[in-house]
Amino acid sequence: MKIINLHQIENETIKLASDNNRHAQQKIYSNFSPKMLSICRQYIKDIQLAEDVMITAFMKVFTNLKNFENKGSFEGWIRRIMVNECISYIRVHKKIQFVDDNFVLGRDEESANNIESKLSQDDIQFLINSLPDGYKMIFNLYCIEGYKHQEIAKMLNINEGTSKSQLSHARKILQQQISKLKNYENGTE
Amino acid sequence: MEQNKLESQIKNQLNAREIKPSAMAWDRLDAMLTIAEKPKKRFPWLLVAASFIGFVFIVTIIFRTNVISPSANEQIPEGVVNDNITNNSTLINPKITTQNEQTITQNLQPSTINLQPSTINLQPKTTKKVSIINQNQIAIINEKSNQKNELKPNEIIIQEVNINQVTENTLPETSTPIINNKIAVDANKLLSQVDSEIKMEYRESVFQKISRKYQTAKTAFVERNIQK
Repeated sequence: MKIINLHQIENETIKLASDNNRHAQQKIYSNFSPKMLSICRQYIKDIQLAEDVMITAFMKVFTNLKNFENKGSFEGWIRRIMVNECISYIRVHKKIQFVDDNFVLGRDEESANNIESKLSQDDIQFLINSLPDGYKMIFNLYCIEGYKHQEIAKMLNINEGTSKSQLSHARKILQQQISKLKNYENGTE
Repeated sequence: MEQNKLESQIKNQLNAREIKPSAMAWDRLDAMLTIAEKPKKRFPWLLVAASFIGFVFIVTIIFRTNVISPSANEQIPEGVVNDNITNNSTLINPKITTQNEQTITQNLQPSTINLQPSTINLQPKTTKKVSIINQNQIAIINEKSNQKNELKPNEIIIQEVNINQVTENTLPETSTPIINNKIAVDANKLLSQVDSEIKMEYRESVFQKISRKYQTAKTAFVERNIQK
């Protein structure tokens, strides 16, 4: 019953927000902005720039709120807008070029990443920040957002092979960074 | 490539993470939403262009209604002006004004005037009736081609008629507007309209010849008087 009530409240809020009710819009913003800023922070290093992108994305959310058909999750809909806005920002301002070099991680190297490590959120942010923008984008889309290589290739207008090679590069760099972190924790560095 | 444990861990931790935005963030978003919700004036330049076109259209309509212009389909008649003035020609005292403000006053005697025989063929393009309005008299020089045969040789026929007679004779033949006694007609305007329909070259040549012939007639009178 509680879930149904929450769902009804959300629908009413969405309806009011689509009618440019500022109070409803602020309610939606308050509920989802912390998570959305975290998503933007995954793609953009600078927190201020990440916030600017988040605000721009929320503008698009409220402008296109009437197009939301209540078929899926509202949070998932906002998240998709947020990710697309981040990708657009990076492509415009960073001018990333994806190079297909057919790089593939070896089996031994892959297995090294298959060990669960105790990593804090700061460690994870450090790992993400260590990646170049292109590798980071594909890593986020594949590993965190759950897109397939085919979908990533379509979104970024690249080859599927390029997406795979970029992800391999990202994984290799992550592996190197994790080993650095472990050495630092162990006091060997 | 399957997701390994490290990547799963990264995914779970990042999905659970929340970063609180700054206090100014909502104010900025609020301001952007306020601006976006204002009704935009779409295509104001279209309204400006439409109003300008409407104004031009109204001005042209008003201008056309105020101007009385002769019909464009009238034809300038083939006129043959015989310069031989006989003793039977009539006198008129017209005051002809043109666009160039040339005033040619002709004081012809009631008797016929002999001029050197020469014919001036006015290039026939369209027939036309030229109204010369002076203060006291109205002289109409009919230059219709059908009157050419009726002209006596070596004669300039100038008819002295009233306005009413002119309208009665001309109405069924032309499509020019009716000139009513009660309507004030500006002579200069009418003449300017007439002049605009005649080629400058033709008009100037005709006036030059008329003035030349007048001088000749004048000298002939003087000589005759002296002889008498």
